[in-house]
Amino acid sequence: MHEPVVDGLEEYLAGTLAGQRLAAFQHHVTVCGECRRLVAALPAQQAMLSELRPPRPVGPKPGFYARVWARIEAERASSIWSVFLEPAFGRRLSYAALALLVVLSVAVWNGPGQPAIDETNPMVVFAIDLPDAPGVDPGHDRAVVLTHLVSMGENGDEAPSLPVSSD
Amino acid sequence: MRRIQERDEAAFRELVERYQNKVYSIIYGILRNHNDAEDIAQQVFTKIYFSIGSFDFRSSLLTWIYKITVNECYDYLRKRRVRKLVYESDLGDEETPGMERSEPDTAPLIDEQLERRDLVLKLLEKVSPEDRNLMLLKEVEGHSVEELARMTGMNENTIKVKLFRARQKLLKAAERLMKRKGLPLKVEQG
Ligand SMILES: [Zn+2]
Repeated sequence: MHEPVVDGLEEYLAGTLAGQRLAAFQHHVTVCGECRRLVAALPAQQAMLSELRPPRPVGPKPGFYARVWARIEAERASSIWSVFLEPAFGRRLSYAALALLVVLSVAVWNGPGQPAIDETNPMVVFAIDLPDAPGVDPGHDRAVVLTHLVSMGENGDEAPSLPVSSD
Repeated sequence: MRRIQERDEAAFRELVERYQNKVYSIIYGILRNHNDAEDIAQQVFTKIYFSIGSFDFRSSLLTWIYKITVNECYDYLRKRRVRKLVYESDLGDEETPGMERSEPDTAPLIDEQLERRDLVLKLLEKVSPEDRNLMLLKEVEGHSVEELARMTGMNENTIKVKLFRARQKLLKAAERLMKRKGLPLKVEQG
């Protein structure tokens, strides 16, 4: 609908839109009130956004990494209870609870004198053989991602290819 | 196990050292206060440390870090506004009341500049985080459409459409805000 403007707007703002595309852009602006209003307001919009550029290069004071690491350690220490909320631990806890539930139900169902666990029951097998849940252990994932990112070097401004976990 | 931990820490340290100035300057650009910039930058890297396992490699690392950083700034502004609302009954703007100014701790900014910065922060709050980040990456960081496509893993046409819509939304938000305040839409440049 606003094709020539959608296509050429950023180049128009940069002053690099030319030829046929510039002509199509200008024609569209004369016939489309919405685009005309937008184009007219853009210099002000750009000036406003430029207010968020730092006036000069800035950075943290020396020793920043040590302060970050101290904060990480403090957060780890203070949130000992949050370990119960970690997805991997939470999942294992649910599996363990499920396993216990299944074992108890089987025991109650079979009554006294019967074997407590029927290992052919798929629910029991599933509950006993706790899956390792790869990809949900934050520590494991952190290691894989960090190693991959650092091995990529300085190329942090491009979308990288997917990492392949070594284990 | 200990060696693995040490290796991860070394990798994390490299990541922090590579991006600390970038993160700090994004925050300082938005809040203009060194204490806030230090505190939020620490918070950003702490968040990165605990959530890097969920980085999905679809966008660039910088784009992901940028997103976390801007979100943290807006979280901070929101919390500060709530605090202000608790302690002050006098509400400024009805829809986004009291987006408090960062107290500049470098050269004193003139009122007009502060007004403009408040306004742009309020306007950016009215659009989605994705639109906000895209506009900031384009207009504040100065990335081209081509660079944005590479950074986000999207194609250039998608970026153009998203930028067009984000600009429209920002303009509409500005029109609404100005109308409510009874001000002319034109914002002085420079
Ligand atoms: Zn149009």
